[in-house]
Parts: sequence; C-alpha cells; structure tokens
Amino acid sequence: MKKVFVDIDRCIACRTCSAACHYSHDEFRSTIGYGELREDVRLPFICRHCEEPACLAACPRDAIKKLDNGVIKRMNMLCTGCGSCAIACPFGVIEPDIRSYTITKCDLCVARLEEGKEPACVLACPSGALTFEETDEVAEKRILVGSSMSGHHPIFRRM
Amino acid sequence: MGLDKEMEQRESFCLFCSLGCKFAVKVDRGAPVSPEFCSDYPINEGRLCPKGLYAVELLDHPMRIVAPWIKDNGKFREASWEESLHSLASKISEVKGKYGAQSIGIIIDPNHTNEEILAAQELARVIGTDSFACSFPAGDWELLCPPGVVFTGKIEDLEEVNCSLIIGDLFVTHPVLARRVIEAKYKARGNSIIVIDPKRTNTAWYANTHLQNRPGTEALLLVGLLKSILSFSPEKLKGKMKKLEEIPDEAIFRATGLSTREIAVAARTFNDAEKGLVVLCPGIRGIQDINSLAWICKLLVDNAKGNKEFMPLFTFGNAVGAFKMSSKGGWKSFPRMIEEISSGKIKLLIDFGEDLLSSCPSAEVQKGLEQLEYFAVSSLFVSETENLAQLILPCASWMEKSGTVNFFDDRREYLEPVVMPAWAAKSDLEIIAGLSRELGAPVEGEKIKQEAEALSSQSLSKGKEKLDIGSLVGRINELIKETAVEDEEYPYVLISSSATGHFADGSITRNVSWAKEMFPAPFIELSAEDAREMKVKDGDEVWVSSRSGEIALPVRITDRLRQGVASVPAYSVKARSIFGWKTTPEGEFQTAPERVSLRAKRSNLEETK
Repeated sequence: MKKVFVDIDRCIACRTCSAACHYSHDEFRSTIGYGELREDVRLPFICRHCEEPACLAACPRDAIKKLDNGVIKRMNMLCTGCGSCAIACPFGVIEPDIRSYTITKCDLCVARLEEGKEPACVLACPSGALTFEETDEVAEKRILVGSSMSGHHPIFRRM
Repeated sequence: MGLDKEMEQRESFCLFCSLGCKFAVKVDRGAPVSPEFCSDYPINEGRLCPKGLYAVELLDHPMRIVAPWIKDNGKFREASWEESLHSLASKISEVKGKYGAQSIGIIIDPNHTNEEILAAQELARVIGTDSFACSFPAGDWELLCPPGVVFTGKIEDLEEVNCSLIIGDLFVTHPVLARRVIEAKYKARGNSIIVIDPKRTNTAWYANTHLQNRPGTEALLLVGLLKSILSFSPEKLKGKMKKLEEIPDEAIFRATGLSTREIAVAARTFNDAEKGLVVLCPGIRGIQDINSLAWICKLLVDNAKGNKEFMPLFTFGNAVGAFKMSSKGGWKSFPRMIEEISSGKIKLLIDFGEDLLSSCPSAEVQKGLEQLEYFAVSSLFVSETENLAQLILPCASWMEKSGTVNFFDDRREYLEPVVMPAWAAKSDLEIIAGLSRELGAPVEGEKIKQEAEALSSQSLSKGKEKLDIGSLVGRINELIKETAVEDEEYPYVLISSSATGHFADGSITRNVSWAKEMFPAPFIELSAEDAREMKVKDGDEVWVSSRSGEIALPVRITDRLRQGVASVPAYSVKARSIFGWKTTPEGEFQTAPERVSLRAKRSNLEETK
C-alpha cells in the first residue's frame, strides 16, 4: 500500500502540508497537525493508515472504516464527535478538538487517488520532505517516520 | 468532490513572493473549488507554500468588498460604479482648483500588473501631478537600485551548487527554493550551506555554518568575508579595491559579535566551492543598508574563484516589473510620499491596493490620512485604512484579470483570469480607464499595453553604474560607528521575523482562514537569559517601548535569539507599530533594527511574588 512518508531531514516546518490539506478538503479543514520536539524540531503528524488501526477499534459508532485499498476513512455522517479515536490513536494524529461534530482525520485524499493523482500535501510540499511511496520501498530506503528522527535531524547531528 | 469530473483547471501565477510559482485552480461552472498543482513548471515543479494555496479562498472570500461604497455623513452606503467614479472625478477637479494639481497623490502597490502601474502613471499625467509612488516595501526598492542585478542562471542548476551563502530567512520568505537548496547540500559530502541571520531560523537548521551576527550588521559581516576572500588572492587587492583595507578588521569583529576564525572559515568554504550561490532574502526590519549589501554581494561573487552567482529575492511578486515601469519619469519614492501625506501636503489621495496603516503603522500616517480632504481606495478587504476613506472601490485580485508581470529572474509571464471578478469588483485598469474617461482624457488601453511590453523586456541594469568603492567604504565605516553606540535608554535590539503563511505586512493574508488559525495574536520573542533577568515567564506580558511608541506584548521564550535581541512577527500591525517608519536622507525606508527597552508588566511581578 502507498502511504505518505516524512523525510525529517528535509522538513523545514513551513506547514504547507497543513494548508494544502485545509484547502483541498470540502469544508476547509486540515487533518495534519504539528508536533514540537523542543523548539527546533517540528514535524507534521500524518495518519499512518495502520494495518490494525486502534481508532477503528475504539469507535463506538463504526464511523471509521477500512476501505478496500487500505485507506482508513471516517464517515462524516456517522461520527458523533465523541473523541474516542483521538484518545486511541498511538501516534496522536487525530486532533482531539471536534469541529462540526466530525473528527478531523486524514483520508489520504481518496478522491484524488481515484483520479490517479497524489495526495495534496505531497504535491505541495516545497522542500520535498513528504513522499507518497510503497511501504516496502520506503522500508528499504530506511526513511521510516520516527526511526530516522533521532540522530539524523540536522540539529541532532551537530550535537 | 470527485463526483464532478467535468471541472475545469485554470492556471495562474502566485504573486505572494518574487519566485512566481505556477498553480491551477479547479473551477466548477465559474466558481473556484480547490487548488491544483502544475508539476511540469520548472520554477516550482508544482510545489507551493501556504501563500500559494490561498488563491481558492481569496477568490470568493466572504469578507471581500462587493460593491463601491461612498461615505455619507460618516456612514458608508452602497453606490453604483458610475456614481462613485463621477464623484471621485468631480472631487479631483475641485481639489485641483483649490490647492493645485500637486496636492493630488496616487499610490499603487507593486503587486499590480505592469499595465496597471503604467496606467496609474498615465492617470497622474492626466491629472497633472508629480505625486505618484509605487509602494515598494523597505528592501525591494534598494535591492533593485544599481547594481540592479537579477538572477540570470537556470533554476535547475541550483541543485548543483556546492556552497550556498544565504542572508536572511530563505525557507520562510521563499520556501519553494528549499527543495533545491537542501538537495544540493545532500548531493555530495563537503557541500555546505552558510546562513547569516541574527535569529536561528528554520533556514539555519540546515546550515553547516550559522553566522549569528548582531542584528543590522550583515553588510559588515559580508565585508569581512570579502576581505578574507581577497586576502587569499592578493593580486586582486589593487587599484580601487585597496580602499577596502581602510576598514579595520577589529571593528568588524566587534560590531558583528563573531570571531575572526568563524568569518575566515566561512570565507574559505565559500571561496573553495566550485559552484557557489549568494542568496539575499528580503527582511522587513533587521537588515541594514540593503543597497550596499547588494553591492558587496556583487563584489563577493565577482572576486571569489570558481563559478559564483548572486540571487536577490524580493517581497513582492512583480517587484522587478514595477521597478521597470516606475523608475523612469521622475516620480516620488514611497517614503517621500508617506512624508507628504503625514505633513498634509497631499489633500486628495487615490490608493490602489496599498494598506497604508498596515505597511507603515504610525501615528503620523494615521493623522495624515485623517486630514485628507478626500481619500479613495481600491482594495480587496476592508481594514483600518479603508475605514478612513471616503470612497472604497472593490478591486479584482490578480487571479481575476489579465496582464504581464516580471518575476525575480526577470522572466515575464502573462496572467490570465482564473475566474470572473467577484461580485461587482473591477480590475484597477478598468477603474483607471473609467476615471480618466470621467476626467475627459481617456487612457488608451492599447497604447499602455505596447508601452508595458517594451519597458518590461528592457534589461534592468545597463551596466553603466560603476561602484564607487570610496563611498561604499565611507558607508561601511559609518555603519561601524552606528552599531558601536551603546544606547543606555533603549538597550535591546528589536528585529522583525516573517512567517511562511503571511505575505509582507500581512494586509491581505491576515484575512485568510488558515493563517488566522495558525498565527495567533502578536508576541515578542526573547532569549531565556533576558527573560530570567526580567523575571518573566512564557506568556507574561512586557512593555515594549521605542522612540515611536509603547505597547504590551506577551513573551515567548526562545533559544533562537542571542541575549539582548528581541523579535516580533512582521505580519502583526500592532507589533510593527513599535518601529519608527522614518525616511533616510536618500528617500528610502529605514530598515535598521529598532532600539527598544523592555520592562515586565507589574501584574506579572506581583504574581511571581
């Protein structure tokens, strides 16, 4: 399955991915949050579309579904905004603040994927930090999210 | 979305910085839907920064001005285009009869198309006034004045650069260049990035060498680098260049706060690199003497060995085009115009798109605008400035009109309208044409178009302007003296830093929903040492006072700044009102960092007890 990956060695913390997400979804809402590790390292929190998603298991209304292509998608109309998924997510990519009774969660731009285009955040990323690749290929390249962060960010490297 | 496959895609360019990135907007039956990316365009490869994504929202923003508004007895009422242009024209003849033609001023902001800037000049000629100014922000104008160098290389070659010397915060002002700059660094071992910035910005994360100078000493630091480079090849240090030796090394190190070794190592790295690049980014406040800086960068590029290039970048998208259009004809500079407005010399002001209270927020400008007998403004949004106007005209954004613009590398592009202007908005070209018809001397569209074509294809500098090393050395020595003065009353140095989601002073982008959410109220950044000294915590308020005013701002403690340096966001009008918007004798904006004093608000102190 193809997923969005972050190459933290290239992220400039410009938040373009968040803006791209904001403007390419129906009601102008972003699914990409920001984490801060000390002041220097900021990184986008993007949904990993887990194989066994904790959010799906936690949802009391079955509003989160796994599509055939592996995308974990929330169903807007079913969601009551209880916030269970946000608590369940081990990566903290689902923002706990509830807007218009729906959780904000990445759907990997399924509408764009159907048209054969890459997700908006990947195409917009000005520094080339976000890539849309097959999981196996990335595993070979060893730029998995999180694993490369310690010791490889320019800041840590100099210390 | 996704159901309607018949949506059209229309392309346009982003004018929120001088790179000129191409983007597309999906249009559904004439209404903008979502942004789309043009991956085949070489400058940005489809990549955008937050500003580039705003198009969709700007095109049908609910706060856009929908119709002309006329102020009657202190209240605005909707009016027709005929009525508003007629009343403006009759006011123009009235003021002209009463105070003379010179009391009528016209301001246009450089993010208009070349044709519109020419048409505005034509309008000034029709009225018979000299008071026309293109509102260049501090920095853009000085960079374009001689030597007037623009980037001439190919943007694809940036990936091959071995050493990039970046002055300013490149990844915030022009984020789309980031991929190529970072790629170049990772390409081979030994490639490096040198960043000169008083703040440890996101750009500085990627620097191998971050020269954290004292604010406002960039020119001195570059002279230090230049002298080091010249010392590697003494044969170049002859003739006029010998005058550079008059600048004492010791003074440079003392002023910049850097050691001899740091500068020498950086100079050696830059000189030894086979391919080098010097990037000069715009900064609203903090970089001093930008024109000399451009000259020194040019000298640096000419005198270092190997293949070196200089790339000046501008705040405004059409800065180069606007400079070409308005530099001839004996018009006034923008700061001079501001002075005349403040002093009450201008009685009637026609303002195309410039939010004056946002670009120079000072009490004098506010008073000047209130004094005006008649103030007409064409704008996208209503803000403080527009509230002072007697006539507000809804103007079209650049995505709603056609015309030509020149970007940072002097590349000329044609803008095509993405959608029809929102509601009753008209492009400024149409407004000027309508107004000049009312005045009885119509501005001819065809003639303007041809003239713009001819002017915009001319090269920027004709190579006539030779550098006067003597005067440069004089300026540098003056700068050394200025920075050496310790100010007892105002001990802190205040700079402004921009944010990726805001354009220049933020007058347009403050209305954008995403930016509103991301960038909260103004704050002041302080180093941990200063905060400890003042006994303030994160979030406490401090009084910031300068010679121009005093305001209270919440503190954000950061390890990005050195002791004695504070920083405020450039997109906040409130924070920028601490800066004095004074004019230098040359008629340019003061771009030096401001001297301020800080003291904790009493309520904080009581809390800590």
